Parts: sequence; structure tokens; C-alpha cells
Amino acid sequence: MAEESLRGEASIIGIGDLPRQRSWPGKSSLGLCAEASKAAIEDAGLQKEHIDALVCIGGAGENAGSLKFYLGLGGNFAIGATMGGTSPLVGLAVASSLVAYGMAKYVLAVYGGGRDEGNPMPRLRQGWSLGQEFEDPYGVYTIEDLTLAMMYNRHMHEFGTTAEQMAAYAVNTRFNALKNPLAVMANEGAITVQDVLNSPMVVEPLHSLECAPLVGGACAFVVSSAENADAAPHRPVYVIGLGASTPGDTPYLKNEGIEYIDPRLTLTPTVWSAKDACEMAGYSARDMDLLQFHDRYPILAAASLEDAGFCKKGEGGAFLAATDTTYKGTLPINTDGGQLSGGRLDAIQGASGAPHLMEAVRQLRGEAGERQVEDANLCMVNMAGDGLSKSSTAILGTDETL
Amino acid sequence: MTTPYNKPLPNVYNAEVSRPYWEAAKRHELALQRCKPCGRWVWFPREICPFCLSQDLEWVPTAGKGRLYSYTIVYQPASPSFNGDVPYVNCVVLLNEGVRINTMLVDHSPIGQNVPPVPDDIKIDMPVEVVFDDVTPEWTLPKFRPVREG
Repeated sequence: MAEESLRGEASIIGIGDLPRQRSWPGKSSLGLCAEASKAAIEDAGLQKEHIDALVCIGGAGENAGSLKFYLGLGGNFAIGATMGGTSPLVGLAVASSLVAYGMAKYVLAVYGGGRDEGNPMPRLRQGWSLGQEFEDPYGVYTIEDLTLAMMYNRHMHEFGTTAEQMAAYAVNTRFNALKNPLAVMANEGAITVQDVLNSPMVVEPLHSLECAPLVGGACAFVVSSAENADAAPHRPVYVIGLGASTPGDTPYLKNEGIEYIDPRLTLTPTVWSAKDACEMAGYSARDMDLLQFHDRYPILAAASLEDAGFCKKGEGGAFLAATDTTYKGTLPINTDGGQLSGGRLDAIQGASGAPHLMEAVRQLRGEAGERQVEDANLCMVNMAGDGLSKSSTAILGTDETL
Repeated sequence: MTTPYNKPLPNVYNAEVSRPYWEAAKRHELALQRCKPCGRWVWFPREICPFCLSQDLEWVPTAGKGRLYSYTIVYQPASPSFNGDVPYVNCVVLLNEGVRINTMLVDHSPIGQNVPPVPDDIKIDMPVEVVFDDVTPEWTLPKFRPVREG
């Protein structure tokens, strides 16, 4: 690892996590962000007067000033961290840098929103994007579903991945969600492989039970320097490694032949984000006690796990089908039900990976209740965004991993 | 009197740049940009070559042939204007020039309303060729179909 690095310099000392609900009538996005922020500040044992920087994650980044005013926060920085669904870990990187280099003492980072302010899904792409002129006329489904469905077909074609393998993973995440009161499917009961395969096609080959339900909610966290973390009421969770990668928009249109952009649709940018995170951390995939991976679709988790080094390229389907990924299992993945059964946090301009970070902190603190993984000390968190065009990876650990 | 075309038309980002593409389509030609200095093909239309950053790009007609890189069968469209078309096939074609374009696969065998099996003439890596759909008097959409023997 590099001598000058963020490794171990920052710590998450507080979290605030609202239930993931399909609807939040009467709640504004600002109000939900404020509610989660309040919970995170209290969880860190602080008063709002202690917060001296605010990081608004995802599309909310443009509203950082508004939220600062709404919460009556002091301090100087009120900034945005925006990289699609991967934004929460980019926000963590920004917050970690601020505390590590003494520009702030306690940074509050937040993302969230309801789904009741005119954000209907499914929807066509909105605003400017590189491929839009050439997509909407063809009846393209939402860009992420389309890209992942095409990647899924290509993955099956190249590697023999099956729908049954993907369904096995979906069954495990539902098992986990049944022990997480914050999950949208907490009370929906267990499912079987056959249930997944019998659920309606959305965009072939994606069945509806392979697509995460869209929910509202909010997630917030407080970051301090490692030396200030010891005074916090909960066991500090340290930032051990970070990495991010954005190969670009519309990955299914990747040109052949640009040397630094790998044209394979089945390759996710986690190849690069996980490599950087592992290099900073000095750990590799095999060292992890548990994982929180972006699983808007099982095929996304499968390909990302391959690219993070948990199995060979192309073997993600077989790996997921052969691995007990429940909280009781040999490699627990998405112990909170993930997005697939926990819900995909889809406020305006989503930063949907945020709940993965919340669950990583709960597990590493040993506060995950019935679904607590034994001896959870090191966790890889992976987030993906905008139809395979973005990835971020964090490695978080307890003091034993420093 | 035919029913008016109510589906999205190309939301042109920069008409100066992409006009030659849509004009070629209207003539039933599939044209692509090629960088004069480095000779590489470029998709989608832009003002600068992503390979060498030259701003000297020219429009060149192609044969409109390639292979089906991947596809998805849409059962639940985002835009209600496509509700009457389900199931339909969105796809990415890898053109012989080496670029991938997003389009629609047409003229394939019928697809079931609920679940696959997917017809034999929708196969990844199969040869495909361009066809032109004159959706309005002003707009023509390039689409692709399976290349049939003989």
C-alpha cells in the first residue's frame, strides 16, 4: 500500500437509517434526509453543532445548501458527491478526506427521499445523456434494466450462466430480509427458486423477482478522523480501502478498441474499483468476513463478485448457486436482504447503494441482531451505477483489521 | 387515414453533428462517422474522435451488416406508446466496422406473450442486416433483421 494513503485515517461513528417503504405520504425528500441525519448525529453521540461539514450524496448534491439550511447546520462545507448509484462510497471518500486532512472534524453525509414527489418509474431517461437520441425511439426500457438484461443474455451466452443460479441467490436474500425490519419485503415470506422462475418477465431474461422493488427512505452517516472515533458511543468502523471507477455512459455501446475501455459487456467496472480498494487496504477478496454488494439484479451481483476476485470470470452464477450467502452461511452477502428484498432506494436521481453501507456498519459493530454474522471484522461494500457504467468499492473494518 | 405515429422521435442533442446520420437514414443508408487522421469508426455522432481527439470526422456510408451482440425482449415498456408492440426486441448490433449500436430487431419469428423459449432466429452472434422503417414523413429509424440463407 502507498505510504500516503487514507487507510485507517477515517471512521464511521454514526448511522441513521429509515425503513425502506414503497411510499412516504406526507414526507418530503428534505424532511426524510433531515430525519436520517438527526438519527445519525444522535447515534454518533453528537449535537448538530458538532457537525462542521455536510456531504449530500447523489442527485441531492445540488441541494446541499438547502439541506444545510433546513437542518440549521453550522460549519463551512456543504458539497455534493454524485456518481450514480455508487455515490454513497464517493461521499465516504470525500468525507474521509476532509477529516483525514483536518478540513473538518465531524462530517455528516446523507442521501434519501420519498417517491411521492413526481418520480414515477418505470420512466424513460430524462435530461441529457449520450445515447438518448438513439434510444428512446426504439422503446428502450429504463436504461439500467435494458443494459443489465443484455448483459445477462450475453453472460448466459458466454459462460452458461442460468436463471436457476440467479434465482438461488434471490431466495437467499429473501431469507435474510425476513430478519430485517427495515426491509420492504420483511413480512412477505420466503420464496423458492420456482417462485422466481414463475414470476412475470419484465425485460427478458429478467423476471420480476430478479428486479429490486423501488422504495423511498433515507440513509445518513457521520465520519470523523480515527483519533476522534474513540470517544464515540458505538464501536468505530474504519475506512480501510476505497476505490471508484467510471468507464463512461452507455456501456453497451462501448467502442471496440479504446485501449483503456474494455469492450466486454459482461465486465463490470468493479474490476478497477475493487482492485484499488484492495491495494489501499492490503487485503484481498479471501480475507472478507462478509459482503454488501449492489444487487439490483442477481446477475449484477454475480458479475461484480467475479470482478472483485471472489471467483473466476464467468463463474459467478455457479459460485452464487453453490454458496450459502445467508447470514448463517459460509460467505454472507447482503445480510439485510440487499436491494432485491430490502428495496432499491430510488429517490430523485438515485444513489441506491446507500443501504449496503448502513448494513456493513451494523454488522461490524456487532449490532445486526438476529442476522448478526459471527466474528464480522472485515466487509467489502460494492456499489454499481447507471447500467454498468460506474462502480465504487469500500473495505471497512473493526479496529482488529487496522 | 392511418393513425398518427405517437412514439418518441429522436430527441436530437446537436443537430449540426447528427443531421447527416438521420438524413442518410431517410435515404435508406446507414452512415457512420470515421476519423480522417486515424481512420477509426466512431459511434455515436460527436464532435471529436474518442481515439485521437482529432476534430476532423467524416460521414461514410456502410453496408449495414453485423452481428447480434446482445438483446432483450421487452414485456413491460417504459413508454405506454409501446404497449401495443410487446413483446418486442431491443438489441445491440456489433457492426462489421467494429462499433456497437443500439437498435431494434424486427422480422424475427413470433415470440410468446409470457415466457421464452426464445425463437431460433434471435441468437447472440447471429448475422443481422439493417432495414429502414419510415415511421413519419420526416423520420426514418434504422432497425435490424436476421440475415436469411439464400
